[in-house]
Amino acid sequence: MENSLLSREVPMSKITLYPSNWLYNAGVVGLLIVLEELGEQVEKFLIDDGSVHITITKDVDQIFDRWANLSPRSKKGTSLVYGWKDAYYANQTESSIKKRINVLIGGDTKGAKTRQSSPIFSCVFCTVKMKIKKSDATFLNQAFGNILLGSEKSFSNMYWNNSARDFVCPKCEFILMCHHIALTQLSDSSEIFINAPSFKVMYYLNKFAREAFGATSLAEARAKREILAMSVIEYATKIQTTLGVWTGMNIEVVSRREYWIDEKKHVKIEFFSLPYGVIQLLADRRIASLLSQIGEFSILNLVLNQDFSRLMELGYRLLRIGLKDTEWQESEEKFVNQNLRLDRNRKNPAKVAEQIFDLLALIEEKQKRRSTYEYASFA
Amino acid sequence: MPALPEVRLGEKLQELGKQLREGEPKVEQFREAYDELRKLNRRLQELLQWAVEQRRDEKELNNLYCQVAGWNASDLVEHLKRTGFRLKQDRVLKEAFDRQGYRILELVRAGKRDEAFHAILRIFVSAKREFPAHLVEAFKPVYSDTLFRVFLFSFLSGILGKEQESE
Ligand SMILES: [Zn+2]
Repeated sequence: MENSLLSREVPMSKITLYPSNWLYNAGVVGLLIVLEELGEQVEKFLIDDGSVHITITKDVDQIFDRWANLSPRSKKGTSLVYGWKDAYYANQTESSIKKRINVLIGGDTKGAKTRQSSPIFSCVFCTVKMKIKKSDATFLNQAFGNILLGSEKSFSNMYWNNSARDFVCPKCEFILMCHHIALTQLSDSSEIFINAPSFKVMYYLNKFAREAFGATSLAEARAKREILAMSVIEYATKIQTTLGVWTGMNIEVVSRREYWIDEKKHVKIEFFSLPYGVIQLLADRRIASLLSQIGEFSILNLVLNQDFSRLMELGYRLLRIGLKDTEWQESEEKFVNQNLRLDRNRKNPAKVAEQIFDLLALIEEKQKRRSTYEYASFA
Repeated sequence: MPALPEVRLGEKLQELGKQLREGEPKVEQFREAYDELRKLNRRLQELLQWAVEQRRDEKELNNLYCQVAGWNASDLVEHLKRTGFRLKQDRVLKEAFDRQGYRILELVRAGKRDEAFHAILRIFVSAKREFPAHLVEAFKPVYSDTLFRVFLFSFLSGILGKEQESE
């Protein structure tokens, strides 16, 4: 039991972070997961403007232990992410990582020397500018994820900026080392992160993706854009504040997959997104809840393809079959089973047809509304 | 003199804002404001339709009318489904629709508005029943082919379906 009178006073530190590129964003979301596991009310940190205001009341050891706990281990029980040369974060030790945590939560800046003549570097992630001796400055390298970045010579294609000259400020170092915690492992053995311009949006989209599609869940393998779509639908139906302005910006799935050629490991990073118009539809609470009520991927995919004439035709055929008094013919039965996978829907295709018609009406309304707003904003 | 509906709506919205600031939102009052808004929306649509009929060559007016009408589409779908369910109780109509339903479905699918209209009109005339107002609305040219099909399919699924109305 904790005794608040006797317990050691832990200094509270407050940090405000803003979204940057996907690797950093994944780091912040990973850090939030660590803090949440430590009992912090992380949802309160998420601000509607897209930033995150973190209050840390835990100490370095607590944060390190939880971080290590949430990270994968080998069958023998040794950490796969630190402690040895070829670990995910190459050549990192417990003490080097703890130093970084200490800097993040407001401790000293690991004694980096500055001189009048020191050059000024700007952090590629948080853009903070620092006067620092070049030999003391940290640059993006395999210490921040050797699989992701590759070695300094070979990561050129892994990352957007073709060089190891990217300065990382001391506060961002530990954040980057949390990115692996935010990745969701899929049953096809790829890992994904949903990237967006708001931490609140990213926190929830990744949470929903993890819950529905994480490797431990029984969900069958799904295309990346379906995972993104389902996560947006969950967000629109479960989160009080709407996606609103964020739908106009980039929301994408970053996928990381390892493959071997001639016993050499390669990593492929891919990006998947949905067209602006589709995200707009899915972010509409009524459309989202109707799609999740229907629960059929065949119908979701017609919406993702914006193939509304085929959606109409599907509704028509399901209605015709569903209205029949006589027994279905084999071809009709086959059509129903091919297009609907849920039992409740197979038993009542006319009802699915009605839902499809509702959906089409809502989509049409939404599109009209959009053209009005766009017209108004250009007027 | 009673306040105009738009004045009432404006006041109602202010009231709702106040309630929210004081932390006591009441759902019925939101519902009332929404109903008020939909009434106004309908009225605007009627006025616009009138304006369009007077000045057929004004394209912008016509575009605006299409947009406002589109906004009310899912409302109309709901009404039409319920109208279909209601008319199913009428044995004469139900039997006539059961006989011709599939043919009408085909006409709707093919986008043949006039033929579908006449087929349905004949059923109501020979049954000596009034043609439902919501169904008249569904045939107006302002609605896209997609919406026309959605409206008619929803009505037909109501009247042809086996299920009873839920709720
Ligand atoms: Zn930084």
